[in-house]
Amino acid sequence: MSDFFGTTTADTIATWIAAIVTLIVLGALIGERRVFGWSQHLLAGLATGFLALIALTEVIGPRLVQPLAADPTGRPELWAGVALVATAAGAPWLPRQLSMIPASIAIGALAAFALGGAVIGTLLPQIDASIVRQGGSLGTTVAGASAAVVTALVLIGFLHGRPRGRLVTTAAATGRWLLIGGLGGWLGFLIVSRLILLVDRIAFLLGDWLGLGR
Amino acid sequence: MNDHSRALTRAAPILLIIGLAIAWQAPDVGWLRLSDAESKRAELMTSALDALPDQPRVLIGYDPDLGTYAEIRQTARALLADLLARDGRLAFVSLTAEGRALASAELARLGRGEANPTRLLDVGFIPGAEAGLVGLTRDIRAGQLDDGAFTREVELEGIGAFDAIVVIGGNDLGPRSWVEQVMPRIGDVPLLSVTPIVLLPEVEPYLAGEQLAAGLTTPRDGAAYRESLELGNLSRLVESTEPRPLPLLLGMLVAVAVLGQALGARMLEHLRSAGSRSIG
Amino acid sequence: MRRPTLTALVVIIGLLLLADTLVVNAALSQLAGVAVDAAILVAAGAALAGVAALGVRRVQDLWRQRGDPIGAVFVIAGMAAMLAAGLRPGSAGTTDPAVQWLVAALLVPIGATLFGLLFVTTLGAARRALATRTREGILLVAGALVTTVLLLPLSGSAGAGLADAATWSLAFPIGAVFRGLLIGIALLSAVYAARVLLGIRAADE
Repeated sequence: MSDFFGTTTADTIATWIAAIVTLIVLGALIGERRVFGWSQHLLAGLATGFLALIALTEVIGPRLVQPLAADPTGRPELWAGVALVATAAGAPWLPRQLSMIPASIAIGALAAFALGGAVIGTLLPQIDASIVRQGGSLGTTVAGASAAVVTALVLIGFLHGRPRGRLVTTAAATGRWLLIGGLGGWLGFLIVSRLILLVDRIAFLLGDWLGLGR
Repeated sequence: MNDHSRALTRAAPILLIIGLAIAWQAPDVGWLRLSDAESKRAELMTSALDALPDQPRVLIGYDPDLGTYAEIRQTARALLADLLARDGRLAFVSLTAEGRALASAELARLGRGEANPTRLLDVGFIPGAEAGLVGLTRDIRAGQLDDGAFTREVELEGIGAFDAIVVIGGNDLGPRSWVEQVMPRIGDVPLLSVTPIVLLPEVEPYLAGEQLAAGLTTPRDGAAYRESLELGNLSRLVESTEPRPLPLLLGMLVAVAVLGQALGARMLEHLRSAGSRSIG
Repeated sequence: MRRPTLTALVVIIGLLLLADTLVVNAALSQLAGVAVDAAILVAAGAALAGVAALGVRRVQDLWRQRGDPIGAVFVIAGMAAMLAAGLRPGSAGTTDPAVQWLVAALLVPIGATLFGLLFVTTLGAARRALATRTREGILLVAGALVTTVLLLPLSGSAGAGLADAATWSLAFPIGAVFRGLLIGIALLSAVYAARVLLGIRAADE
């Protein structure tokens, strides 16, 4: 049971509506596309409405509006923040020279965090973890070495667009085959993940809505 | 494709739904089991939680997505209940809109389950993904939503107030972002995760490299962890029913049959064409 | 077209934040804090921009009777309902019961069921991958088949064997592939980010 609902009348109505929209979306399986399409539009409206709501009530309100309302002149930097938010929010309708200011801040921050995070958080620790260390049993060492070889081959296959030289070409080709096999494994995980979701929706209809199997 | 097979293809999804519904209703059978009795991942999670100090203060990065939440929901709820059973104090933060929607729904559910409200803190939503995570390591602003003692501690000490971080991850923001942006900026705080199985490619290397102290990554690990819990009075905070293995088995067998039939047909075709080439 | 001032802004912000990651300095940290706060506010503003752009577009669709007018009504109604629930006088925002109701009754069930349908479509996509008649397609589907079998929820010795095989495959072949992929993605991200920070790739490209 999803347990998203309580026991009040509003919760009972919510359960019924949730069941109806679940059936509408499942109706796509029998080719009922029109109502299904409307449910997608409703989802888009609700999701974007929620995004706007949290941006307003949990970011812009507490960080800018409320401090400014309490002391409009005490913290002038907050007015700069208001201008920045207004520029970002109005970006689709403002001149490009102006709209690129918030975009530049976002891109600069993203690039810095991506570079720092990738090198410090992933590259160095993961390369370190790939290195085979002595001290374990022979089997552990062999398994570690084999894993390191697989990792290296996948890396070569992933990064080399047009490998040169016979050795690198063979390594890149082997790496690509390993990569496809790994992605195949991931596809299996994806299928199971989606199945769990489908079963959960059926459980909602039968359990939460119809009250069967409790 | 003839009319008969075309009709079967059209009816197949509905037959699948009906089959799954019947399997969900059917009584449990002994030879099916979701959990792995010797799940090392579940044991690692329990050990990591056991190693936390008394009344641990835990930051919960709650960012599952609608597309995978059903898979981890029960494990995430069990972990929250386990932390509360250890007298933990939990601060929820989300960096995605879907995560925030689900976090506020879960907080409401904990409220309905009469979880001690002084042990729960809603830090709310921080946009900007990586920038939001880095912002979280600099200061945490929770006073707008709550003014309890836990809030004051968190506002005063920031992320240093926490004994552990738990990431309930999804497709949009998972443990990788926390490992890359948060862990290098804070001290030795254990990072634990509950993630859907589709996130394995990015979680598995961090678990193997011990950048994640523990993680529940597969339905099997999650079920084993849930099975190991003794929550006493707080068992009211976990879901009353476990997922039923029979519909999962049926769906997986359908998947295996569909993929296996297509794969077998294609391989036979390959073999035939290879054979005819060698004869020719 | 490149705009030197904007590229300079990207580089300044980026290098400031990068330097703050690597060097411990109070003044630098304070400046970086301003940049981080600015990036967070920009993200909030960008979210509003996206929502407003969608709303305006759908209102125009409705006004000009183009596209799917009923669909446009649903988008606008969903947006308006959520905003009215969370912003009306006396509302508690996202934790308000009316917002929670919309999330539980509509947002979660529609979204979750939509993704549940992907079980059927993903199987269809896997079959289509085989229809390409490539060896890559065969390997891809074979990999999917093997992992699906390894995850079968069986008990007893068969279940234990499958669980052991799944653990081993994650620790060794699949785990090693994933690590290679993760390092590769990290390398590409780092190179791309470095190009942006060095001004080789302009912000408005």
